Amino acid sequence: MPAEQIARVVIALAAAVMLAIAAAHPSVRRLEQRFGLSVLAASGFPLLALGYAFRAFGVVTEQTLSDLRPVYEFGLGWIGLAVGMQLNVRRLDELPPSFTTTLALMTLPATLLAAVSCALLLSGLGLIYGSGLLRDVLVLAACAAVSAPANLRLLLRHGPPRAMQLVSAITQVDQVAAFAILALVASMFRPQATVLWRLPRSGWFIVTLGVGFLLGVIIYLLLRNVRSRAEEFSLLIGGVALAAGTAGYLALSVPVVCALAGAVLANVPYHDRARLEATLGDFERPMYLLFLFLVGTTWRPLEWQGWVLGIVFAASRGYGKLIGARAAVRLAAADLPAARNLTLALLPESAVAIVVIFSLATLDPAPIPAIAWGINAVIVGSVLTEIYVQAMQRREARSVGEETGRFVTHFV
Amino acid sequence: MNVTRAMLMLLGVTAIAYAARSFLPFGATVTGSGAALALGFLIVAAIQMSHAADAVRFPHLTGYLLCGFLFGPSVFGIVTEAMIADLALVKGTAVGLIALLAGCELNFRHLRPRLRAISAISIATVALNFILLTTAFFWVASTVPVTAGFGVLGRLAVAVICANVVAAFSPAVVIGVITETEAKGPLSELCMSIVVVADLAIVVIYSLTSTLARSVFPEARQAGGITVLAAHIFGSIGVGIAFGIILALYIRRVGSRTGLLVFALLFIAAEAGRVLHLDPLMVGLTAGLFLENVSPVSGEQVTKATEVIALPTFAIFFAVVGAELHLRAFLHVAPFAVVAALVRATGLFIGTKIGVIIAGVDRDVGRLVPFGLLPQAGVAIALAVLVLNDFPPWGRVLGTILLGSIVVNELIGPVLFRFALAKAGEIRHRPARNEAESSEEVAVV
Repeated sequence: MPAEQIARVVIALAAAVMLAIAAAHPSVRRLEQRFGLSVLAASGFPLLALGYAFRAFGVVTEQTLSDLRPVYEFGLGWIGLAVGMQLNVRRLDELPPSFTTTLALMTLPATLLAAVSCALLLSGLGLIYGSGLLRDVLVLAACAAVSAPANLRLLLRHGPPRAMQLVSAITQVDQVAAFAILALVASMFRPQATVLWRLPRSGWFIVTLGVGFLLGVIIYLLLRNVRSRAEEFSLLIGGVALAAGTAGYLALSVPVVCALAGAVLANVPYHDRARLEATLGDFERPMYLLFLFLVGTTWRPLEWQGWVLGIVFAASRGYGKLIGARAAVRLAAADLPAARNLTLALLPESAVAIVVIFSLATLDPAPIPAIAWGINAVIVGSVLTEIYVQAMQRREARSVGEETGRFVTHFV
Repeated sequence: MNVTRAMLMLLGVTAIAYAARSFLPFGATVTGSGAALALGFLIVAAIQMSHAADAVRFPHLTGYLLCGFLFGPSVFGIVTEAMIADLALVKGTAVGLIALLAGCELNFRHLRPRLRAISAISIATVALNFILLTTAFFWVASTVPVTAGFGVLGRLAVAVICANVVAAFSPAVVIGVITETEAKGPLSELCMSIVVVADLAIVVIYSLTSTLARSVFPEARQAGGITVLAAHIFGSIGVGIAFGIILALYIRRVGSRTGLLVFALLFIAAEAGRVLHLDPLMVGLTAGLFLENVSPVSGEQVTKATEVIALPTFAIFFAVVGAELHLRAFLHVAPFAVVAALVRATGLFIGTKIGVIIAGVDRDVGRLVPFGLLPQAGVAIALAVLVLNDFPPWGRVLGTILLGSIVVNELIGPVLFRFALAKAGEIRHRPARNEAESSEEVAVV
C-alpha cells in the first residue's frame, strides 16, 4: 500500500473514532436535547457523511466492507431481536379496543399513498414491472409505515389520558408491520442462486416463520439457565449471530427472522426480562450509528433521482398519516387527540426504516440503482420530516410559552 | 443435570447449523452469513462445552478448544475453512483484547519485588529451551527427507528457527485460565508476567532468526528485513500508546460504554494492522501497560468495563484456535511432535528450577511455575504458520511438526495449569448457582 494511502487510512480511522467518542459524549447529548434534535440529525448524520466520504476517498474499500459484513448482519439481527421483543402480547392486551383501528389507519393510508406515488415516479424514471419495481415499492411502503414518537408531552397535552399510551404502542407495533412486509418481499423476491433446497416462493415465507420461531425457542432455552450476566450477554450475542447467520445462509431476511425470535422471547416467562431488555437497548444506539456509517458507504447523494424520490416519499407519507389521523379521530375520538397533533406525533420516521431499506440492499447480490435511490429517499424523507416536525413543535411550544429546548424528539 | 442440558443444547444448535449448511452445495459458503453463523454457533457451542469441561474440573478453555476442534474442518466440518478465514478479523480483535487485559494486570510497581524472579526464570527457561530444542530439531532436520540433504549450516538454520517457534508461550491461554478461575496469588502473577515478557522476547528473536534463515535459504519469501521489523514493533507500540491515551481520556471524560469503545479500537487495530503491519497483540499489550502504569486511569477500571465482553471473546478466540487444528496433518507427524513437546517441557522444568534457585523464589510456588509456561496457542501458531508459508518446501513439513507440537501443549497445557492453580490454593471458590441463590434468599429473609 502506498504511503499516501496509509496516511489516509490512519487519519480517517482516527477521525471515525473521534467522531464516535464525540457522539457518546454527554455534552453532545445535552446539545441534542437543547436544540430538540434527534440522534439522526445530531450524531447520526456526521457518521452517514463520514461513511460516504470514506467510500469516496477509497478509505473504505470493497475488502473492508466484505470484512464488515458479519458485523452488519449481526447488527441487523440485534435490531430485529430488539424490535421483536416489543411485541409483548400481554402488554398489547392492556390497550383500549380502538388501538387496532388506530394502528391500521395510521399505517395503511401512508403505506398505500407512498407505494402508489413512488411506483409512479419510479416508472417515470424508467423502472419497469419485472425489473424489481414491485419489490422496491413494497419496501418503500414498509418504510413509510414506521414512526418514531415526537414530543408527546407537548403534542398530546390536551389529549385524553390514554393517548400517550396508544401513540407509544403504535410506534412499536408499526415496526412489526414493516417487518411483515419485509418478510413477504424477502420470500417473494429471493435472489436466484445455486442452492440445494427447492421450494415455491410461498414455501420460503413458511420457512422464515419456522426458522424465526425455532431460533427464538433455542435462544430462550439457552438464556433460561445462565449462571452470570457475562454468560447471558455471551449467549445473547451467540444466539443473535446464530439466528442472523442461519437466516443469511438461507437467504432469508435477517431482521425478520431475528424479530420473530425476539417475539418468542417477549412472550415466554423469563426471570429477569428488564435486564435482558436493558442489555439489548444498551447496544441498540451504537448499532444504529454503525448502520448509518454503513449506509453512508452505499449512499449516492449526487443522483438527483434519489432526492426527487425522497421528496415524493416524505410528502405522500405525511399526507397519508394526516388522512389516517382524521379517520382515526372520527372513529375513536375518546382515546385520541386532535388529528393535526396525532399526525405530528407519529410523523417522524423511525430509524427502523433505514434498517428495512438497507436490508433489502443486502438481500440483492447485484443491487440496481433504484435501491440506492430508495436509500436516499428514506434519508431525505427522514430529514425533511424532522425539519417539519421541529418547526411545528417550536410553533406549538411558543404558543404555550414553554422553553423549546426541553422538547426532545426520540430517535426510535 | 447441567451437563445433560448443555449437551442437549449443543445437539440443538449443531442441528440448526448443519441444516443451514445443507442449503448450499458442499464447500460453498456465503460471505458474511457464513462468518455470522460460525460466530454464533461457536460461541453457543463453546459455552455448552465449557459446562461439560467444568463438570470434570477441566478449564473452560479446554472446552472451547475441544469445541472448535470437534466442529471444525478436521472432524465434523460444521465450521468450514472459509468460515474460519472470515473470522480472522474477530480473532485479531480477540487477541488484542486478551493482550489489553494482560497489560492491565501488569503493574510494574507491584512487580518490582518479583522482577528478579521474572527475569531469572524467563532467561533460564528461554535460553535452555533454545539449546535443547535446537539440538532436537537438528536431529529432526537430519532425519526428515526434505532437510536431510542440507549442509550443517542449513540444518542449523532450520533447527534454530523451529526451536524459536516451539519455545513460544501463550499469554492468551494463561490469562484466560486465570480470568475464568478468578485466581489470585503469587503463582498466577508470576506465570502471567513471565509468559508476557518472555513471549515479547520470543517474537523479537523470531524476527532476527528468520532474517538469518532467509540469508541461508535464498529461495525463501523475502520479508522487508530489519526496517520493516522495526516499523512493525515500534509502530505497534506507538499505536498501543495512542490507544491507551484515547482510552484514558474516554474513561475520564465520558465513562459510558467503555467496553464498546475498546472493542471498536481493537477492531480498527486488527483491520488497519493488516495493511500497516501492526501486531494486535503488541498494540493491546502496550495500551494495557500504558493504562495501568502511566495513565491516571487504573487497569482495573478497563478490566471491569470489558468484563462482560471478555467471555464471548475468549470463547470465540479459543474455539477458532481449536478449529484450526488439523487432525490428519498432526497424526502424520505425531511422533516428532510429541518428542518436541517433551523436550520443551523438560527445558521448562529444568529452566524454571535454575531460575528459582538464582532468584530465591519460594520452592512451593517455583515447583508449580512450569505448568503455567506449558500452554501454547496464538503466537506459537502464528509463528509456525509463518515458517510454513515463508520457507517452501521444507517449511511445509517442519511447519506441520511445529503445529503438531503446539497441539499437544494446547490441549494439555490449560488442564495442567488449572490443576497447578488449584494446588497452590489460588482459585477463588465460586458457589454454584443454586447455592448462591439460596444464600441470597437467606440474606433477604
